[in-house]
Amino acid sequence: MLNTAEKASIRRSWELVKPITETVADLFYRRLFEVAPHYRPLFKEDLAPQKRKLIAMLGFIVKSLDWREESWDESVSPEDDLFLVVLALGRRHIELYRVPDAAYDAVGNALVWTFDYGLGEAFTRDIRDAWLKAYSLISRIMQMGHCAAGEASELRWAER
Amino acid sequence: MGTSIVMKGLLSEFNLADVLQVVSLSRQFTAIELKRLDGKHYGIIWIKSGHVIAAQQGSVEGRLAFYELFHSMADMFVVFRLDDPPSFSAPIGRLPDLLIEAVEAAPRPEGSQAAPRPVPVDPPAPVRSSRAADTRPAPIRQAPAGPAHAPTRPRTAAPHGRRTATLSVARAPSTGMVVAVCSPKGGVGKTTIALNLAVSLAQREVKTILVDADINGDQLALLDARDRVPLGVYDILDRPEALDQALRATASPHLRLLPASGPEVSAGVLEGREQAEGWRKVLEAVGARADIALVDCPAGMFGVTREVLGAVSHVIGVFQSEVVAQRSFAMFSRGLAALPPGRRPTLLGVVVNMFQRRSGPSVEAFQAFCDEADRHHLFETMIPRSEAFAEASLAGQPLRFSEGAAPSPVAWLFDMLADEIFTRSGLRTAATTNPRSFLV
Repeated sequence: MLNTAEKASIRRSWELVKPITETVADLFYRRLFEVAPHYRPLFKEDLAPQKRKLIAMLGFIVKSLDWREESWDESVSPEDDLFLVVLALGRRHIELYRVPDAAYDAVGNALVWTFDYGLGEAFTRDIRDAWLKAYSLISRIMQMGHCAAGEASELRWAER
Repeated sequence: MGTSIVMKGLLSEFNLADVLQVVSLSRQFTAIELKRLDGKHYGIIWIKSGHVIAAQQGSVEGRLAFYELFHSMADMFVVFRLDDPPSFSAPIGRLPDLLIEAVEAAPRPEGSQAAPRPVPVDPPAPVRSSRAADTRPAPIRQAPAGPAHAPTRPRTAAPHGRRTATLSVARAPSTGMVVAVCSPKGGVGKTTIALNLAVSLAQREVKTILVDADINGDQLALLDARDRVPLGVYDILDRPEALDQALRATASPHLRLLPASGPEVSAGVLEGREQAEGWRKVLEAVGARADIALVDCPAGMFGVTREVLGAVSHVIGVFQSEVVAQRSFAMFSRGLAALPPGRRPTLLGVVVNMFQRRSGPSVEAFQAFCDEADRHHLFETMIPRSEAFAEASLAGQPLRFSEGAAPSPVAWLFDMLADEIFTRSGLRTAATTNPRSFLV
């Protein structure tokens, strides 16, 4: 669970990423395959759709984390619920795409490297820690994907 | 009230702190039900948007129930989404705060089964619930007594590997895991499993101790070394300070053996004394000397096995894929359930032994086991019936050592089993804690 300051750090840094999303996606996959070339076959030859999905999912995560403590009793639809959507995504990664466990470390490291490279000095220690915390939670949910049951195992996030 | 199951799993695979933290990201009204090995309800925690709305364990509700559940020995979790939640109008607290309080709540005194008694300090968060709420105050935040209960800070550093407890705020053990290997029936292969598994664990460069808790001394029989030890665990139950004298080195650099006994049967055994306290002290000392210790228990879930189970942190069941063993395996769950909650070890899993793919009765016994028990507890690695075991016993060696540079392929299965144990327990190997470059 992220605190208010961490949510603000993520939101602020995402505003800086927004104008350079294409570059960020390029950098991310370049870095990922540089440090873990054995994961390249897990992806299709044409990475463009994958890059769009990455940016859309990051945007969804940032948006989903952005709510005020006082509004804890407000709900969102299951299709917009970060936990449910990521759990279903994790199940697909495990069962359909056979993504190995070790990939979560590699992806997390590549993501942080990308933000660091892309944002330079604006990627402060606080922002870095906030993203790492968020990524730890997200990757943990994905690793629990094989425990998904019922509607949560089939839920699909409508990219918009 | 409409409910939908969202996920379910084992707490041996993902600890409760992890489950709570990921579920707390949901903005749905969610309930986490905790269950025992036999499927019985143990307690429930309601969560929404990072806030714990309510908790209930037996007749206890509110914060105390949350602390009790956090430290519970429940085996399974089931997460539900509630379309039409009950009328809890205010949370009992934010999850991060409650997790810290639960960790810092005074640990149970040794041997006590009572819930931790909080020390009054701050008033609790107001609860306007339709249920009878716990209005007792939160525990004071102070450093617990011993290093074994020192809370670890929630980590926000690097991304982590699967099922390691990096998100956990649960206390870190100061000693190694002590794992009982047991089964309700004799002759199912506990001794063989324990020996070969210990060898594979030690191969990963973790300090491993194999304890023979069967007074028959079958480990020494397996190694053809019955007359070669002067002292064993039964000889030191009333004087644990003699442990180092009793521990024996093996040909595997990271594996030591604590045999059952020396040439004489100990007085405690002859007099039939209850020795639960002796087992607790000796196994605690064993845990302090190892990253992981395996305790090869005698057949059955009561008697000495029960005393051992009350002194270990984890347990592995051995299921022989054969009809009589299958019929008696229900006693495994009953034996664990009969232990006091504060003394119940965490179930790491059940290993299927002597599986015969081409034998109808063996396959049927396995199928019946899966139908009756929770198959999620099974390790993926199954050990087949193999001549290699008899040949290794003849040589007085574990499988890996019995055929020199070309051990039986079955030996590799124990490596896979060891890997599963590392994954399920979060125990880290030397290779993961100190990654080395191949080129030096």
